[in-house]
Amino acid sequence: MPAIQLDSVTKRFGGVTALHDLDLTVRDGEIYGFLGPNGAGKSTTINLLLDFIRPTQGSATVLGMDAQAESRAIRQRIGVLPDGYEVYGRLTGRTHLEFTIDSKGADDDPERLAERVGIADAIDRKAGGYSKGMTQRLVLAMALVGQPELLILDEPSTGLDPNGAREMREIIRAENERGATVFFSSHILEQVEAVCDRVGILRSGELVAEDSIGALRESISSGAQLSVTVSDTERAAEAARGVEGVREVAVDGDAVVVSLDGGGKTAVLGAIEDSGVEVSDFATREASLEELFAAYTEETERVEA
Amino acid sequence: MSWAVVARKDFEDAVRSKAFWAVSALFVLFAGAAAYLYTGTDLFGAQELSTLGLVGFLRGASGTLVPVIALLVGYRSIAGERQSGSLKLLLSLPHSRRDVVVGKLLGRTGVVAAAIGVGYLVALGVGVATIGSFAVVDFLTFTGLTVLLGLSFVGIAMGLSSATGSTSIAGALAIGFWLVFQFLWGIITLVLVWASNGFSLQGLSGLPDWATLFNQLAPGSAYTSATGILVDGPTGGGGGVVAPGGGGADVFYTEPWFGIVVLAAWVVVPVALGYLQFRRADL
Repeated sequence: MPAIQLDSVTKRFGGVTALHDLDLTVRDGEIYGFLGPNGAGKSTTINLLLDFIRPTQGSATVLGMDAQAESRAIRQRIGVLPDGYEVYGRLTGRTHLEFTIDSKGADDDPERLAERVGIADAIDRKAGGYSKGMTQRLVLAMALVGQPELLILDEPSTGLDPNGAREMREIIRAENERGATVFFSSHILEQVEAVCDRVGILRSGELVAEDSIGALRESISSGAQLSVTVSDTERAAEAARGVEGVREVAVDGDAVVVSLDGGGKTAVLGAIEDSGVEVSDFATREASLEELFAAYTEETERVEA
Repeated sequence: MSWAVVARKDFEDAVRSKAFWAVSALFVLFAGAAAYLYTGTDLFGAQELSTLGLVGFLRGASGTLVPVIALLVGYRSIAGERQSGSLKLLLSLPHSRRDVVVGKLLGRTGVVAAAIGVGYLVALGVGVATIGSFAVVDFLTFTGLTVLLGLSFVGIAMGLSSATGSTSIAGALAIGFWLVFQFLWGIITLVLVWASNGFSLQGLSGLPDWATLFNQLAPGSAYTSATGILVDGPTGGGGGVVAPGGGGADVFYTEPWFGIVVLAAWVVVPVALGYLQFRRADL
């Protein structure tokens, strides 16, 4: 049973189509990164899963239950860090946590939760005085209440400094090891690359790519570059051009820079060595996730070419 | 008991509002002043002081200020959380939208009831020593009716708040409601009587029955007639510009129970209509 499934979901707000015929499956037990630029429809998708909004067409299930008809039962079993929320400024962190624990009928200890997200010393202060990062930590702690089977996190690293973002990733990993499925959205790529089993890229309400990060990289034409420092650049370049999968070879000082479609780096190195040229050093460079993301979200031609 | 969890949280939140403290302080002041006027001065001659006499005085202060407190406490309840986004936190937890509406209605009424309780305790503190035999049951009944008045106005405010999704619209509607039903209702009744009588007040020996009924539909008038269980006639406040029962004093709609029914309807109908709107809304 998939943790999350969307079947041909369309959502229109007035005349604006926020989601267009979206199909999406998040498998049980995986960490799924939901990527896309701001305004792509990530929060709309998450709001549909939580029954904050209703689909114009299509249907969604969470943990096998209908996202609309059985929303309350779903929310009993999941933990949520929503987007664009505000905490109750007049209430303390502890009150927030106790309220969540009571709401779910859970038996967590507020102090331990606060400690886990790093706000233990602020637990008895009013949440209205928290910084953005502390607020985000508090709401993450609320999401962890009751050992949820599924965590839905909308832009979880918002407001966190790099250290906070790292701690967030550690918590995501730990929750996943406990057995929870994690679905989180982001427009920041490093967040996703570091923890996700699979990513889906949303653009203008449509899923334009869905795979593991590695496989997505492979599928991009500007895939990888191999830079080989050699004794004779001309002979090495000629040898490299003969290898299958090589798109372009350029000379840069005492190195040849080989652009590849997909794999084949070992074959290139082998061919250069076979030609009798001495290889003193080599380096590979993966397409950065930033480029990958740009390829999918900005320049469709490059992907389709 | 999901609504009970929401109610408790909402009580704890709303009771810390500064605006609420300001109006409540005013109410406590009024209640204390009313009790002092009644028991501490000899403005009213040598009549014997009684619990019901005190109730009659407190009714004026309550009928005027409790609606204001309740509207103030209620109008942001749903719309405010929708605007700020805290509703997303609330509805990420296993609460249905109905739990949220019911929980907030009760939580915020609890806040209003707390203000009423403190105000009446102060009034008792001022007045009880001078009242010979204090009638506890009568006073508790009166307190219950005032809380019902508060509940109906919280219900009205929450209905507006759930239906609109905007605090400024809900606030404007709450003020409009207060003006029409607390302030202008008696005048509107008279205007209608005047119009239906050929734009003249000549030849009328009292209010026609339908006008009396119409006047009784305002929550303030309903409160005044509901407290008729304990004390007769209005002593001001609560929209009672037109004295009920002009012609036929024995008709059902001037009975106290009818006032209670009207107050209950002012709780149920606005909340239900607001909820139906809220249930369908994209947040």
